[in-house]
Amino acid sequence: MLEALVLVLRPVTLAYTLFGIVVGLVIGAIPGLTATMAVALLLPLTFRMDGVSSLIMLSAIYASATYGGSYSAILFNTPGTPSSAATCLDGYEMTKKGQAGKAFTVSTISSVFGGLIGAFALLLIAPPLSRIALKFGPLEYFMIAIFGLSIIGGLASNNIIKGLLAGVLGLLLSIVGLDPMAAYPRLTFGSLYLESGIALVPALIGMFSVSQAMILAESATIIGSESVNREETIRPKLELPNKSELKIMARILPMCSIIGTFIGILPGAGGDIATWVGYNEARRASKHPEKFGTGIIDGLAASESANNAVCASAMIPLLTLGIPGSNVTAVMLGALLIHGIIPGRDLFTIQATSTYAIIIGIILANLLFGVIGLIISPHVVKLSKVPYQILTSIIVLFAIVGSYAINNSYMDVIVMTFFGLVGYLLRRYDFPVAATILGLILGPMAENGLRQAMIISNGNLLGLFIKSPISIMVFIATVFSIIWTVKTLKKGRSAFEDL
Amino acid sequence: MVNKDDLVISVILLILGVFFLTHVNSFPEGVDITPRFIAWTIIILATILPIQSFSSLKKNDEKFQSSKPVITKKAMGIFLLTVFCVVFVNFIGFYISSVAFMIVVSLYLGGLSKKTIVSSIVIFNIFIYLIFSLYLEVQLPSGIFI
Repeated sequence: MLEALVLVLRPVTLAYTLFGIVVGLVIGAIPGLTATMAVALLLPLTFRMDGVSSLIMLSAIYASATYGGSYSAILFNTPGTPSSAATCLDGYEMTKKGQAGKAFTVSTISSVFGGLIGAFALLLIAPPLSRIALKFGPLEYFMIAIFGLSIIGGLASNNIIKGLLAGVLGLLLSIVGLDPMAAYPRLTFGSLYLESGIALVPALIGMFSVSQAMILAESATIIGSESVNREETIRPKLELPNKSELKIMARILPMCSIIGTFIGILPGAGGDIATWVGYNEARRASKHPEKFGTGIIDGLAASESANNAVCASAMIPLLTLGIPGSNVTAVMLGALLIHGIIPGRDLFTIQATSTYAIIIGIILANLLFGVIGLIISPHVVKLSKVPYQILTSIIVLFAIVGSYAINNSYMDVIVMTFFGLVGYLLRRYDFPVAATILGLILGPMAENGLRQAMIISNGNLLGLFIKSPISIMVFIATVFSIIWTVKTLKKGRSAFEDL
Repeated sequence: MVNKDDLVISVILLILGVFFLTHVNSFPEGVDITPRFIAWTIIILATILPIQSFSSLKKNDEKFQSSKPVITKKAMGIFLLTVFCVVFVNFIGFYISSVAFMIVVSLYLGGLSKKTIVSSIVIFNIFIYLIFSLYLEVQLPSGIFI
């Protein structure tokens, strides 16, 4: 552990961590730019870094962008990132009451608290989970992939069929390339480039960045029209919560951080879901639910702690099983692959020093973004005024450079562009992009697992299944996940729609 | 009445599913299991989509009408400009294409002063040069200007 700490405290790692925090805060504060897009676009910057520094920097961007999203949510009623959508409800109402400074400090404390709970969950849960992963065979991996895919339905905003279709489209894309066992080309249409499959990182960059630029261009503004224009939004005076407010936070923060942590562990369900579920659960547990949405700290603390708890906990399935817990960690999976880091037990044994350094780095980043955030927030907020016309072109050009830089391949740029259009169409027609990404990532794991399991069992999958306690447990978890996804997540969303 | 968008999407996906299923028939045994499963799933879900959309519309007509998604000309314009930029990057290189792209996008979306456009172009290109060309040593496409 000491060696890991030394790795984190190297000047170069600290510099990258601080860089990640500042970049994350800036991108998070600018509405229209998401944490996923930030990580996808800045991924090429990690090429010359070591694995530890790059993962810490990307995690710092993720956590601070999620927190930074609260700035414009509080001041302009425009969430900086989708994870901050619920923050608008009470954060902006507090600004209207002249309490923007207090909203900032509550948001900061809640985000740091949630982030730390998620990070400690990563520290405590990931190692034992990786030990279980060691016992995984093909059938277990197949079942885990199915478990991940079972979340897909819940990722649809209001239509489960669309969620499933988006996931199946991801599966369809995942089979492009040579068949993993027979090396037979599938859906390559004679292209040598496609024989190695769809390039994941350019596809992610396109889906999250180019589509975002298109949406930004059509919205023609990055700040909501409702925003109040007064001194409060120009330079909010920071104010600490009083004793009774701290008591309220002490009750809400642990509950919503745990909710966020749990949602982060679920494959594909990220901060945008956690923020609403956290908000809704805090409202349900409150003695005065009718006051939610009127500018009370309860709602603000709930949404901000839940969304930041996701940032670290979403890395639990990523580091142990190679399954992303959120959109951002799906992009981070690309970073792991680029740096030759293979998720699994080895990360907690042979490469334990590096892995624990990454986790300690995440804890440190969560502490630092709060302090830095409070210091630079008044200046960062001004960046929300950056013209959307400039942002649109910069996002596209970064996407071109980023996708090209991965392999110095022009074909990767074409793939990125194609997926930009796919991402836009999916988003516009209410198909969850996250489900397509999950399908794309989990497809090969599911197919390889199933086919290898069939060979091992001589076609008797049921016999193999009965002999595998892990598979049975994962199957039960899948059934519960489907029920939970359909009931709880929908309840969280419908609660929001009722507001 | 069925949601028109969902009906169009359903038809497109059905065509995709059937095309894919036909394509899968040429795969050798074993290789075709997963693709066949995916093709049938697409066909089944694409068939259910308009039916489900119809029942949802009946339940809550107003909600669905108001949340009808649209593809805007502005967004598609940006996509077309992106395609042009990607094509030109291969011929005239990244830096010249990026300058042209930023100017055209700014003019297309409108509302910016010349000073803002020029300063953005200069800052962006210096940043890209310092980070990608100097620090990361990425050979950005230079097109005919090799």
